[in-house]
Formats: sequence, structure tokens, C-alpha cells
Amino acid sequence: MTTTPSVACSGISHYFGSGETRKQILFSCDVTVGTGEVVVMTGPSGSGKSTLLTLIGGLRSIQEGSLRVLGTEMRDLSPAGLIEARRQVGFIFQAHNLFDSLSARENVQMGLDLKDMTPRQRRERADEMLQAVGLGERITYRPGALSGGQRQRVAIARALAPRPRIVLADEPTAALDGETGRKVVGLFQQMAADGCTIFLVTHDKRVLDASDRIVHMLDGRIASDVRPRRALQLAEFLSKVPAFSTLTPAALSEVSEQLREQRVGAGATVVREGEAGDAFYLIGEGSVAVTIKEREVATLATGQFFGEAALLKGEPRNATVTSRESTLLYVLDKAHFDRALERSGDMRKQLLEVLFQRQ
Amino acid sequence: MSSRGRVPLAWRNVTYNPRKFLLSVGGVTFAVLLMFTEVGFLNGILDGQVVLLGKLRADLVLVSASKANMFVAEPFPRERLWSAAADPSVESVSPVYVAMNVPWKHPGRRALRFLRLVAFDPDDRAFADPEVDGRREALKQRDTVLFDRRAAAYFGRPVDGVETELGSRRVRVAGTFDSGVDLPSRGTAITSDRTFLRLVQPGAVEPELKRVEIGLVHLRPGADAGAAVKALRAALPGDVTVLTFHDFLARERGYFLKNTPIGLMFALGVLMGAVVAGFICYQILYADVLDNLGQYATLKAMGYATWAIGLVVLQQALYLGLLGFLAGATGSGLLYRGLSMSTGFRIHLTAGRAGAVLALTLMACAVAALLAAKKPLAADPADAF
Repeated sequence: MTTTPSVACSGISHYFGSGETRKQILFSCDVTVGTGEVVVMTGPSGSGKSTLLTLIGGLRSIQEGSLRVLGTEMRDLSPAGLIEARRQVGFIFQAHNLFDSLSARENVQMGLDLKDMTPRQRRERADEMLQAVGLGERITYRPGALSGGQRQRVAIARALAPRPRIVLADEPTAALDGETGRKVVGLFQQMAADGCTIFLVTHDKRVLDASDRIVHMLDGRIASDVRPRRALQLAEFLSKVPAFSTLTPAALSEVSEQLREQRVGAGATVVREGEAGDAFYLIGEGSVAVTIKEREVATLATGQFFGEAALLKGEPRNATVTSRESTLLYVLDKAHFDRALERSGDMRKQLLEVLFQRQ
Repeated sequence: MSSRGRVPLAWRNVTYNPRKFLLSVGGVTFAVLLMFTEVGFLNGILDGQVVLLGKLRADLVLVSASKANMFVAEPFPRERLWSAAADPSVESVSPVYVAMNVPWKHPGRRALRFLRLVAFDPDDRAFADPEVDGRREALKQRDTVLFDRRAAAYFGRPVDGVETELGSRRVRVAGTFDSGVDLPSRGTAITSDRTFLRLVQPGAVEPELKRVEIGLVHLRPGADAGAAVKALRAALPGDVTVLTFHDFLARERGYFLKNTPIGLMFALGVLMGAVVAGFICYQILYADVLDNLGQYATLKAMGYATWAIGLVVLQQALYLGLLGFLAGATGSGLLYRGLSMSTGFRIHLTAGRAGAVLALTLMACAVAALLAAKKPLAADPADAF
């Protein structure tokens, strides 16, 4: 999971034109993306997703709000600073924009020429990237001698060769067949694992499957921001909670969206014996110790849960829960918990049974 | 930012399409040829003026004060030259006589042609050109002439020993020299003052050459030319002008430039050539830049500065200019040789003239680059997304 945000937008608004024809494109967008996340941007054309990406890439100046990219506030950058900031970003345009006069290798090297590398390093890196996108045999070909898909892969190699810390891509797999498409998606995942944050505008199912987040935009606003894999994982965890076992998948995913992330350090007390219960906890990562009257009775780990008894019975906490290590908790507030329970008919009885078994 | 090992984008853009490359360089080459032709003609005319005069040997020169141009006769009294000889810094003086439009008969045919006849005393060392200086003994014989090898073909290309008629006399060619055609005359013969006298004053009882066209003054070794000019100017009446040999040649060379619109006409021609070069260059660059607008926007998105993109276009322009110049200069070299051989005009490709054409070509191309680069400089990388 993520620690430092790679991109943090808050209250970003943007306008095109001026005076009478001034048109607002973005409306106070907030989104924070962690290092190494693969974010898919969806939404109809004109929804503002491209505009948001051009702001992140330093291609436009910030008008309203704050945008921190790799720790730098983009609003404060001079035009020269913006140009400098772009060098950390790899752009993959839908039009491949390759120079017809340059070979595949030279096109890729154009991106490397801004780097402090020896000519030999540049050539080797270019060849390495072309091999990675499956064009090892076409290194000396000019774009005119390449197919559309091959040109797209050259453009991808060009964007990724300088090892950017952020990649912004517009339909990067549109012209690719099954195998090369998978190869490119694999490349994105590998880059993400190495700490590169990737934004993709795409409708390609293969890319959606590989993404960490899907940000959907509508009319200049962020309409939804979901983490499909996390949502799936949480729904799975929740389905194992007896109280929720009768919930439909749709209801489960709804509940999972109500969960709030909370990270606690080692030794932190999450729940104290005797206090009033106000939340239900699901362990996303790490482990906790359960202590009753200063006697440790159990250890709970990833996928397990605690805190439901106090909510169900309306009694104070019957145990103290302390984290054993740095632990990620998903927290469901009492109000949301109760609402979920209402949808699951006979659960009260079942839960009480479970509680009985546990004791 | 060193360019070592970086992708030679400008060069690739210029050369990658062989057909386009040849056409573009060919276009600029044509414009360069145009400029060289104009420059060559002008200089051929100007240089032609002093080819013969440059063969004279002198430190100072006396000419008539009312003389504007060497080849329009305007002689001065010979006494002036003798007065100059009295100056202590002067070692010797040699009068040179010139007659225009002397009829010459083609040795093989009967056709009459008119040439310029230059005469000197064969006892004087009036010529520095060894071909003339070495033939002084031969010229001492009556009715001998030296003939210009480069004179127009219609004089009949006389060689040693050929006899023909010059003016009213039968003369023998005693040697040749290498001068060439100039605007006023298409051929020159050199003879002794005695033969000259018989030609221009036939039948005179006591012929004497009283009027001199060019007075050559040789100074004593170590004498200061500037001081001598001043002294002679002060000593001689106002009907003669005293010049150093260098100034004399410069004045003659500049005559047409100063006194006729010829300079302006050719300068305009050269300028037109430069405009054509710039226009061709602009057309090529503009088409290329339009093809690559998206690519330049992408370069900006990658973090290339705007000036770096302008530099690519400028480099392309300079490559075109340079290649066009090289091809054009080579072509002009051949053209000049051909023209020199067929017309007798001496047209030289000197470093200074080539440099001037190069500078003009590159300037025209640079201006074209500035105009053509407007679009890519303004290309917005945000629009590429």
C-alpha cells in the first residue's frame, strides 16, 4: 500500500477561454494518488480528464487550487520550472508523434537526450526499451516502415525509456493486439512496482484489470474514485463476517465503500476494554492482539475482524485490542454498521451465536 | 548542453527523404548560382578594368586631372612628366601612350577589327609583367607588336611571327601576353613608342609624342611614396593628378561602380538571388515543420525548451544553406571557367566573394527559419494530449 502521495490535487478548478467565452472545465477536483499506483481515468470526452492530466504533467499552468506533484507545488512553478517538471513525466499521446526522419531507436533516444547519460548508455537504454515492447527486431526501422501498433509501441518505449516517475498515457493500448497489449500492460505494472505512478485514459479491459484505481469523471468533477482490487478484497473479507453473510454482492460492495482506512503503528491501542463501542474493524494488513483482563486471548490477522460485539449488544468493549505491528485497519462507523445490519434479516441471532461460540 | 552523441534531428529531417533532399538542396543551389553569376559578372567588369594596368610597373602614376577613366583618351603634356623627374625622390619616369580603336586586320581574313594599342619606350622598364618586360628587345625592332592571347577570337589568335596590318602599317607579332577583355575593348596590342608614333601620326615630318596618357614614376629605393605624392602635387600644375600606383588601380577598378548604376543593378541581382534562396528555404522548412507539428509539441511535453525547437529549425535552414552553397560554389567555379574561356572576361571565384555569397545565403536561410519556426514555437503541448 501507499505511503507518500505522488500526486495530490485539492480544489483544482480550471477554465478555458476568457471573458464572455470563459468556460469552466474542472470543478474543484480532489484526488490523491500514491507512488506506484496505476490509475485509470474514465469518463466521456469533455469530462475534463485530459485537462486534469495535462495539469499533472505540467503542460498547463494551475489556475485555481493546489496540485502537488512529486512533492512540488505546481502552482508556484515558473514556465522554466514547468519545463523542468515535465522531464519527470512520460507522455504517451494517442497520436504517436514520431519523427518520420528518425529510426525507432533515435525516436526513443530523443527522450533520453535530456538525461545526463553517455551516448552509449542512451543507445543501450533505447534498445532495451524497444526490446521490452517487442520491437527488438525493428530498432533501425523508420516509422514509415512500421505498422500502427508498432509505432504506438515505439511511442511507449520513448515515454518509458527515461524512467519517468509519472506516466500519463492516452489510450496507449488502443492499436495493440492481444499479445503485445499484455506485454505493454505488464510493462506498466513493472514500472509501477518500481515506484512509477501511472495515469491511463483507456477503455481497454486488460488495462482496467491491471489498475489499482478507477477514477471516473463527469462534467469536470470526479464522480467516483474506486479501487477495484481493494473493493473486491474488502467485499471478500466482509462476506466472511457472519453479520453480513446474507448480503448480496452489490450490498457488500456498497458497505465496503463505507469503510474508512486507518493505519496504526505497532503497539497502538485500537479498542480499550470498558469503553463504549462506536465502530467495527476489519484488518487489511498486519495483526493485532486481543487482551481480556490483561490476559492475551487471541491474535487476529489480515481478513479478520473485531469490535462487532459491542455494537451488536450495545455494551462496553469486552476486550482491549492492541496492534502488534504497523497495521492497516478498515473502519466501519456504528451508523453504517447498523444500516448494513438492517439489510441482513436474521443476523442478530446469528451473530449472537458466533459470539457465544467465541467465548 | 553538448550535442555529442545526441540524435541529429535537424540533419535527419533534411536528409531522410532522398528525393526531397535533392530537390531542396537543388533549389538553394540554383539561388546560389544566381548570386554567384551576378557577383561574377560585376567583378569581371570591374577587374577587367585593371588587368592590363596591373601589369605596369610604377610607384606613382601621373594622369590628366580631367581624366575620369583610363580607356577614354585624355592625355596630358609630356613636360609634366619631365618636371616630375626633377624631384629628388624620383629615380625615373616612363610615359605610356594609348590609342583607342586602331584597326587590325584578321591575319587570315580581310575583316577589320578595332583594338586598343598601348605603347612605351622599350628602353624603359614600364611593365612588371615578364611576358612584356622580356620582349623589350623584340619591340625595339620597327613595326613589331605583342598581342593579347585572351583577346576576342575575331582578331584571329595571332602567334609569334604572324604578320598583318595594324592601322596603316604592316606589323609582325613578336610575342603574346595574357590580359583579356574589358568593357571598352575586346583586345589589346602593345608596341614601342616609335612604332606607335608612325601609326598615329603617319606622314608627319618631324613626329614627336607630346602628349602622354599615363605617366609612370619610379621612386628611388627607400623613398616615401606618400611624401613623394605630396611633393609632386605641390610642384606640378593642376592639370595633372598624382596618385600612388595602388590608389590608381583602386580608382580605375571603382570607376564603373562609382559612375554607372552597374553596381546597383548587380547588387539588386544578388539580392534577388538571396531572396530566392530564402524563399525556397522557407517553402521547404514550412512544409517540414507542418509535418512535424505534433512531434515538436511532444518534444515540448518531454521537457525540451522552446528555444531548443527553434534551434532544430534553424539548424535545418543552415544545413540547406551550407549544402546549397557548396554545390552552388562548385557549379559557379565551372561556370566562371566556361565564361572566361568563351568571353575572355576574367571572372575569379575569390575567397572574399565566396564568403560574401555564403554569408548572404546563410542569412537568407536564417530569416526563412525564423519565419518557418513560428508555428512549432507556438505549438502547445497540451493540445497534443
